[in-house]
Amino acid sequence: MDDLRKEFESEALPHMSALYSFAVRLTRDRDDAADLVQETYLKAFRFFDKFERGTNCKAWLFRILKNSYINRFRKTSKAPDTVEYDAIEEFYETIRDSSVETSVLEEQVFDNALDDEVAQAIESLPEEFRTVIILCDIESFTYEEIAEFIDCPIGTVRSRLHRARKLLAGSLAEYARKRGFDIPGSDTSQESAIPDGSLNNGQ
Amino acid sequence: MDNNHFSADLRARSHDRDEQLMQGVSALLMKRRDALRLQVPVDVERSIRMAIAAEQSAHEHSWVQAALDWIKRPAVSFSMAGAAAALIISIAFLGQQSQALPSEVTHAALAAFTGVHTGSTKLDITSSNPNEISAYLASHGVQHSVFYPDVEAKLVGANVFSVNGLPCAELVYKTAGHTIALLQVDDSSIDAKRVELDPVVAEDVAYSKWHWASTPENGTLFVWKSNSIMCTVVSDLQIDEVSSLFRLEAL
Repeated sequence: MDDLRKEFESEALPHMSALYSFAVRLTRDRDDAADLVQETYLKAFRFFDKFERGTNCKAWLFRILKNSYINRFRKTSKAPDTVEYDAIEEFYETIRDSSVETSVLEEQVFDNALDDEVAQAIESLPEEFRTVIILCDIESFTYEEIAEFIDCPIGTVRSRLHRARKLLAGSLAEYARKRGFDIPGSDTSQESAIPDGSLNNGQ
Repeated sequence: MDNNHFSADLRARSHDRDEQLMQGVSALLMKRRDALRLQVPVDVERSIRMAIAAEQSAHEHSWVQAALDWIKRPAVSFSMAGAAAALIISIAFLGQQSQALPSEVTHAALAAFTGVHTGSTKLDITSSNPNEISAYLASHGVQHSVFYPDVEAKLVGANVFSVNGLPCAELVYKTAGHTIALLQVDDSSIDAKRVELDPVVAEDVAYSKWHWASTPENGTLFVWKSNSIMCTVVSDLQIDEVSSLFRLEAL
């Protein structure tokens, strides 16, 4: 096996699941995601001699994936689920301002959340929020790397991340309420705030 | 407390609580990272690895083609003729040397397949029953446990095949008139250098899980390791046909 290919395989291929996972959440289609990841790897292999050794290979691959996505998929990507984001944010603020102890809320909303619920809550986020929260909290990219990825100032990354987390907290609180936890401020009008979702982790 | 202080206190409390909840979300996602990350399906991974190998092959071919074009130039071709003749003789000599290596696993698998496929080698045992086959193989010197992959073809029997004196199992499958022969060698015998495995193949298996290649007769050679068994499939089917018959997730 050629040394370059060997180096490429040891540097780049370990990130395949991270890329695929992100691609599925971008395209909302596993076949499209597979095509996108394959295209990413072929481009990366062709230009691997341009990759600056010692820099973050994962971030480099994610940038190639994003560019491929914009070129190939974005115009035809499926429309996100319709979600009342304002309702979720209002719901979140009601919880935040309630008198329930933070530790109790964290236990009910976060500790008891099911993996599928968390995955579905992420799926339901608008793309710009979904992207930053995945890159930051799941893939551990720095703010600088995310800013470069989404081509925005770091301040935008911070604000999108904050809103993404608020929306996620609101969605998870709603799931907790549906599972019977006594979450303050919720009512039946919140039912529509949580999408049924068509894509669960592990499906 | 006046209204201004009360409002400021409320805002500060909201801010603190916000921070705590945001940290809670972040911690939740980090903690569930592995569960939230979708694993790339085996067939997608294989397809990507094969595409990279094909890309490399195409790249190398373009260099070969460029070199051939250069050699075709009249001024070069005359002076290269003698060297080419010497090269052909060298290649033929090396080829003969390769064929004379009975202990190399892929060569052994190719030879074993050819015998079964052409009918010059009769099956030692004709059976589709894995238990019966395993018992036969064990009684004829095969010491490793025999691996029966999930393959959409009919198991028709097996041979005990000797690789450098080491008894190894060869399972034979048939599908739509095609033959799939699976030679199994205990990995420890390769490690102990009792039998050889082509270093390129060994490297591919180590780095890429699988080694795929076309045989000289346009068939397929497919090598992978299952637990402690090095498995070598040779078939007259094409690579994509072999790939679709084997449940690679289970390998």
